[in-house]
Amino acid sequence: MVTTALLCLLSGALFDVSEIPVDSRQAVCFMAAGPTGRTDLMVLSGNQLKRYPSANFQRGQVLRLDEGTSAFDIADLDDDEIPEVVAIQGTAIKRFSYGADSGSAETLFELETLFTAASTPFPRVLVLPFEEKKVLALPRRDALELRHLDGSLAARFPVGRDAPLSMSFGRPFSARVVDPPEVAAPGGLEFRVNTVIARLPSLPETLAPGMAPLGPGYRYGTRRQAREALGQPVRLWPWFPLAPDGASRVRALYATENAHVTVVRIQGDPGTPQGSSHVGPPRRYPGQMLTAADVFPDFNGDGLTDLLLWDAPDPSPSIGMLTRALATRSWPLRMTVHLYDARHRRFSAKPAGILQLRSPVAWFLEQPGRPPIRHMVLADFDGDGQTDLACSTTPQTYSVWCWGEKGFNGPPDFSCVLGENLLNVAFRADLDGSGRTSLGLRGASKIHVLQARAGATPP
Amino acid sequence: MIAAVLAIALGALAFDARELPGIEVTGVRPLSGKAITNYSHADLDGDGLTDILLDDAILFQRQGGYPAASRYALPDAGDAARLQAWNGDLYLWSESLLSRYRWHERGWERVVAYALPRPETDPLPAASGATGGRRQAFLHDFDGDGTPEVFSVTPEGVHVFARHGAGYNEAGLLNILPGRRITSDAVPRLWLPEARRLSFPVLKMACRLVMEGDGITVLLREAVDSETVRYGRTRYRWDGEQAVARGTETTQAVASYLHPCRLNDDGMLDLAGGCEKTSETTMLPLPVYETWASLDGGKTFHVRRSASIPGFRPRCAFVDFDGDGQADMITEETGLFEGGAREAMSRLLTLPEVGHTVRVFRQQDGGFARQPALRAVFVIRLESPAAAQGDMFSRYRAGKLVDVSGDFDGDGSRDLVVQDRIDRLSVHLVRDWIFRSTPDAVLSIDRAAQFAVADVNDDGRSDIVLHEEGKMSRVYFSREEGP
Repeated sequence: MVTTALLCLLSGALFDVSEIPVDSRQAVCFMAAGPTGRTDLMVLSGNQLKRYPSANFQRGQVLRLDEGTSAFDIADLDDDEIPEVVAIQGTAIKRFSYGADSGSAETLFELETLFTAASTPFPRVLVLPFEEKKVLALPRRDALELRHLDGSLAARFPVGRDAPLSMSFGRPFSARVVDPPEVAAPGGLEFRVNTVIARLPSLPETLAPGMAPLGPGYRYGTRRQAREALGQPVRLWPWFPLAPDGASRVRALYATENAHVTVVRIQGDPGTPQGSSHVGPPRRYPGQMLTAADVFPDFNGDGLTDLLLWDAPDPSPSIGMLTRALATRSWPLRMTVHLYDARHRRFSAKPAGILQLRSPVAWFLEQPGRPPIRHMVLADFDGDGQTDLACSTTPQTYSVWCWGEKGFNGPPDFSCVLGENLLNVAFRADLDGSGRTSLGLRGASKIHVLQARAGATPP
Repeated sequence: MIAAVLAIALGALAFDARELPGIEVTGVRPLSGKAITNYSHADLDGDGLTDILLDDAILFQRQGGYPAASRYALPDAGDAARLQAWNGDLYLWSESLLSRYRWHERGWERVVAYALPRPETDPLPAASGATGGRRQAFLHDFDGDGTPEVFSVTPEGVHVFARHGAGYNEAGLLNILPGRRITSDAVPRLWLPEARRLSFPVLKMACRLVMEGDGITVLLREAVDSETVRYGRTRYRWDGEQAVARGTETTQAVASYLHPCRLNDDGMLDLAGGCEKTSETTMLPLPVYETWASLDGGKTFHVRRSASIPGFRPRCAFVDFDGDGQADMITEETGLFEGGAREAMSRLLTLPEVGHTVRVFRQQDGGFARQPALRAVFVIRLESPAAAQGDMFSRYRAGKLVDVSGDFDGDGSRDLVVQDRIDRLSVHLVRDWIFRSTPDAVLSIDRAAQFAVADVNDDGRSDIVLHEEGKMSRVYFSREEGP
């Protein structure tokens, strides 16, 4: 284990920082229940599974999966609060103790599944509570079968043509001529053959929440939808719920007027004759919507979604700006938070929080119109119940701002230099149930873990 | 059809403009330089001139053009029928009947019809358009006897039907398609317990199927991870009854932006593509476009780097420029960032034009020449500075203003077309690897028009096709002399 070598500028002592080496970019990182009741970080590289307990991310333990292992799960099979590993190898369904290699595995039973033909290990949800017992959910060619640990059938849910309720997604089969051909010699024929199929068995309510939807239940509209919304009837505008918990059906509809203005209308006013169909007047806010998938920021913790916008000045032939841009290779960027004012049924005109940053010029150039903000996470990092904000400020620097009484403070509450370019956010999780979110930042050679520090006080 | 409306000539190159309803040229294959069209070429009236076969009509070539009076509907065989021209006849394969039609003075005559049900799992033809539409091939002469076999690609494999006596019978089902495999795209959440979600695995298969004589090749693309792929090539030979495997080769893991292609005829699998990177060595973080090619199945690579703008993709990166049968590498470089940083920034903010350089690296000696055989420099007027991101700049970034795939004088060497003004196309002929900055022909075009290049009438000289939303396509047929 490489000890922490991060250059961190800690002002709020929000995180303990550690580094976990990964030997290839193909390594898969995920969280799993650990034997101590805490959470483990798992890094899968080929057939080697490395386990890092969250109590001490610096001590990794290697578990080897047998050659030919295709799918595995880590879950508590016998309710002793100690997880086991269930692994599929060919037709063999195996179980072994957490912490042991799969060489010591016990074969539970044999069954042909869709995983049989695969040979590369990948984590899957295989263990499921069903009728007060743990069963194994095994996808087969024509059904999803729930099997007891002795292999006996607990339930069967057909998929495909013979299923009572057949749902599938993807493209079952297509063979399209490639004309002109790209590979074939002159006079030859060439086809592009594709098939993608994702079947959904019809599961009973008792298994809920069983089957994952193909995507999250809600997505923000696309940037293009927002750009084109003003020319559309307001019912077609993209929107987000003001009360994501379903406490009310009030929505915020939004449209991008131009690169510097977003128009917002509030829909759903029980006090009006139209009720939920009532749409309030358009209000203009400076900047463009900044969204994180499936996250509804609530900066002041009142249960209502707030508005997060970004804006950047247009390039202009200002010598001062140019000179600074050339010197720093960065360009100014502003993020603003407008809190929802339930009494007046609108977002506040005056921003309650402003972040002034400089983003690398390359991020502006990469995809014009896309926010020049990378790896943004909206979550509660200090455990005060309010949404905080984290993002990259350079390719190798990651910073966190916690929302306080006066909104965001100017400088970040936490910042660290990773020593390598950040590729993605590998995980974000409340590891100890304290309400504080920890982060795993994936670089090419390491996972940089920012573990929420117990006892850290909000700034 | 509207009669010739325009002819422009400078020197020996001239263009006649015609409106051709229904014709679309949507671009070029970036790795071969061949035009992507919504039509096929065939001589279906036996006059020795190339006709244009659309999904629903035939345009016969008459006196060098395609007048409206020579446009005829195809025989009605239902929307689900596939169609293909073969040796001067038109074949239509409906759900149950294979029909062969021949054109006579007065119209279509059905020469013969065979009861030949398509396999139940035969996918329906796609909607009409430039991706094949109903013109999905189903005839191929596997055994080289001059009589085409009929085939259908289905999930079970390739059904082959051969002519026996008065009918077609199933000669074999070639079980050669790779099986669907489980994808490992998204890592599921195993923790917290309440966050665990069961999911039925997604099964996927993507391959190319290539038929050349009695050979059938299956080219399978498999993701190694999110950034790399591996290609497996399995060759088969049709022996009259089944496909006999002749071996499999697998490439090393290569970047996912590399795609299989045919850059020469040496039988090795070629891979090519491009990616955008950012130069870390310059004052400004300049985007660089890298053009990659491998002529040996991914063992070694030839890479050329060009200063670029974010999101830029060249229209065509490989084309047989000199007609020697080997595809040459084309790079395009923007002049936006030339000079010092301050100069570049000033140009971005104030200058409504951009310098653009095309380089051609010849394929030779098993690789690509280190030095370009051709270097062509243009100045393109953008109407407004690049920073304003106007319409012309958007087209520039999309690679729509420069085309190197055409041969307008039919000399076997590719020529260049540049939309160097929003209302003008300049055609530069290339002879003996010499590029002249003075255009050989200039076409005035509507400001909203976008251009494509294809040899529409198959006379060996490329033509220019203009598309404009809501208007019929206009084809500028190239010819040797002025009117």
